[in-house]
Amino acid sequence: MITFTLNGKKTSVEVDPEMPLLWALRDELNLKGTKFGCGMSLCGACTVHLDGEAIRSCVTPVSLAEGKSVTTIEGIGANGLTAVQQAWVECNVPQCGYCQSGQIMSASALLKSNPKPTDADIDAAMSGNICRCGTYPRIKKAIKMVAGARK
Amino acid sequence: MTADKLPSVDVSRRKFIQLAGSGAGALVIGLYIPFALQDDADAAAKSYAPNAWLRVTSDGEYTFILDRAEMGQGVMTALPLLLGEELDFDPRRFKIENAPADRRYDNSDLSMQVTGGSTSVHAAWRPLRKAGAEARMAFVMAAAEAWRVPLAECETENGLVIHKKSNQSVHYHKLLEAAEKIQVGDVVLKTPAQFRYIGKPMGRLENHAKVTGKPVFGIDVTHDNLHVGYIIRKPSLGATPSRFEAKKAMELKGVQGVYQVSNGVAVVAKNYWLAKKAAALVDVEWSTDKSLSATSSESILKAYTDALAANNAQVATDKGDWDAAVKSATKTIEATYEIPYVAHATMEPQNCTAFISTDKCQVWAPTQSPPLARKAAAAASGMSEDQIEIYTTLLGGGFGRRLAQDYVGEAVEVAKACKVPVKVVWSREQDMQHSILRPNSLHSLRATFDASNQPTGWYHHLVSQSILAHITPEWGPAIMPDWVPNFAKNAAGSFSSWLMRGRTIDDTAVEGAKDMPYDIPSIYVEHTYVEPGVAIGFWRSVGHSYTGFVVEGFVDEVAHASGQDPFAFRKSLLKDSPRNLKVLETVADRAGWTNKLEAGRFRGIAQHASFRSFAAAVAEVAVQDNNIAVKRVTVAVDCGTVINPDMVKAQVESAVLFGLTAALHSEITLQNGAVVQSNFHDYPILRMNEAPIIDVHIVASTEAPTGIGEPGVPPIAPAVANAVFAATGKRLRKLPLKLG
Repeated sequence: MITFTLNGKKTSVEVDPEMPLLWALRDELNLKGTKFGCGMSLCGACTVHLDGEAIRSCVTPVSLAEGKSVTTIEGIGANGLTAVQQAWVECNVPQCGYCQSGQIMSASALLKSNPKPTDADIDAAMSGNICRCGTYPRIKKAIKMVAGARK
Repeated sequence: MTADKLPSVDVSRRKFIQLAGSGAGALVIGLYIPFALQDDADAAAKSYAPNAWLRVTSDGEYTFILDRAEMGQGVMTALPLLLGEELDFDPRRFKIENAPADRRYDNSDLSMQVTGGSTSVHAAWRPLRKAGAEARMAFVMAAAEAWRVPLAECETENGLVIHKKSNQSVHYHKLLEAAEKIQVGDVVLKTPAQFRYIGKPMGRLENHAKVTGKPVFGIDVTHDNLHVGYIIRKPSLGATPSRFEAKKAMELKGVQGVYQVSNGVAVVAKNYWLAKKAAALVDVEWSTDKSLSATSSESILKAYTDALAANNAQVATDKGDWDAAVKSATKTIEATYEIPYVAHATMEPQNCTAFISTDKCQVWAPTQSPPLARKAAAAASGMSEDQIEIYTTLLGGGFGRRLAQDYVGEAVEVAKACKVPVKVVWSREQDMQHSILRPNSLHSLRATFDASNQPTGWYHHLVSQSILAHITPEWGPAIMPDWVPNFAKNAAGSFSSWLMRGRTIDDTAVEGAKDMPYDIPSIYVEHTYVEPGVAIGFWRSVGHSYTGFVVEGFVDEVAHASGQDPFAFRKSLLKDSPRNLKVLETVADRAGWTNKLEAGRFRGIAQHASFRSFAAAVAEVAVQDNNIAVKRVTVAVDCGTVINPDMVKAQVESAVLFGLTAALHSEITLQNGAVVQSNFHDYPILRMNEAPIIDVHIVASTEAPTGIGEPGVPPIAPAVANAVFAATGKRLRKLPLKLG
């Protein structure tokens, strides 16, 4: 039995401790917002926050979440859209949308630790997230919009 | 949740309708409601469906039935917008539902219900608008009749019929019974000056949903008692499982069963992780095909090189007199171009959910064609097509991958074997190695010049497989009218395939080459068919994805041999192709072609028409230590009337980055009958830190809207290659582009 806080609520799962957190979230807890893209932490589609840090849940065994706090895309906008999500809508970022949960989670973690990132900071933080539809220019614009709006 | 009900994203539906027109934003999306349930859902309210795409209920619910697959290209916004424009109803108020497989939803450009070829908006332009206008007219006539006022005094505004003179107004959904009885005559469509939505800024309708992780892609489908299937697939081309031992796998708790299917051995378990883990414990013996399992990239190249010399080609274009041009040439240049196989690498790996109950087979799939999916499901289940229900989900990328239905047929086979609802999920490795690929090809080109160094002749010999030979057995029957008996449909499909195997030219193999627009007096284009046994299919921009590179690369070589500037040279030979010329001139102007560049920066230019649209690109690159860094890409496109300007811009940005990935990184190779690449470490996708600045310019046009999903792709690789030539003097004739 592995117990952790999920989107603010105490949650327990009875699964193989080696099962990646990604599959515990998707298949056991039925939270489909976090996506499967590669299984090798190469694409970032599975990005969630573990104690506030962006991690790739496809290579993180669920046992590592024991006693910690996990936040997924379903949990960040508890009271309406966050500033990042709003900027995503305003800049018309998503195309197919499949990678966007991971993109938003990575961007949110970046802006939390670095409220005014430079282009180089953004590239460094976001280049682990692949978008096959080519939304990078808009993602960058949206991140800068949030950064610019902050005092 | 019952077996049939599926989740829909419903954001305060009634509250939203009250906010309608205030731009409050949140769109209601019912991403797939099983159409069979509609009658139950509407039992309380009256439902009115004046055409195949609109349903209105008396309690104020307006549903748009989307008959094309949303894979990021924007049909979920563009199509409701077309109908909403003429209906005079804000498209942001629609609830969106996916259409079932039905001939009412045929794509008139492709003769069947399919999303592809950058045709959705082009094909829907008049039919959806006409449907909206007719529905509006019925409401207006119904209101005018009820108020006993002249029709001409009535107007509409966002779902209301208004009679200003008597200060009366009524919602469309209050007029259903009367509207149903009305016979609408001919309608007049709006002029561009009257457009409220077409051509105006509007966010993608499903943006809000897509930033919350709520929308359901194929891989997200849920169902009572849903199991996951993971198929152990063949280790090389032509291999089939001869026997398997599943004892160890079956010992794992949660494994439901292990079954043989056409594509391999399927492990069915409670979840993906378990199924994959159990699959590693299954012992499969494969019987291999000796010749296919010796297939390699080298053996294929050798076969294509032999084909170039074999004199077995079919003529695609014979303009002027190429032989005479050769005889009288003062100078000749020649080149060989090589194009690799590439994979689609949709971010969402292939998947499909299927459930067979006594009298029906239900399939949930991220498919680009419901009727093709239905056909595959019928064949796999042994049931008749009218027992199959196809539910199209959102697609996490398409790019043509989902035109094939391999993931559907196999899921239905697994469902038949395991007898429970099952979702077959592919790993990324499987997605990479067992895919349908963009065909590879080999090209031989020559050009002749006269004494004044002007080109007199152009020769292009292409060697490639035929996509149509692979797919006509499926597609042929699907495009034929329903009344044609199955045996005749199948025979026609087989016959087409037979023809495509070297007896007639597959147009998709030579598009962009056979009709190359430059005004050279003699043009000779021929094609030799080859078949190395590799599964191929449509990939974003199809034949244009490589003819763009080859033709625009060799045109650049001809320009250079002719001693002319690459832009000026192209311009001089496009006098009879005004729309090609216009995008070329626009991109050269916006990229500042004649301006001096900062040190270390070089430019290349290319133009290519495809899918009824026109595109041109200038790439600005820097080359350092054999590394090609693309700094800026300027693109000009002409796609006719623009439905949503920002989304056209987004599609072009998408095409640039997709095209750059192919230009700089993408190559699928084979060894011992198997694909070598397996994940994003050896099949890299362009990342944010490699993305250039992208400037998109849309040429204003009042022509009917034409494609934009694909046309941005073809000019990208050649623009970069031509820039690399300017930078280094090295002509790169192979993809992906590599220096040193």
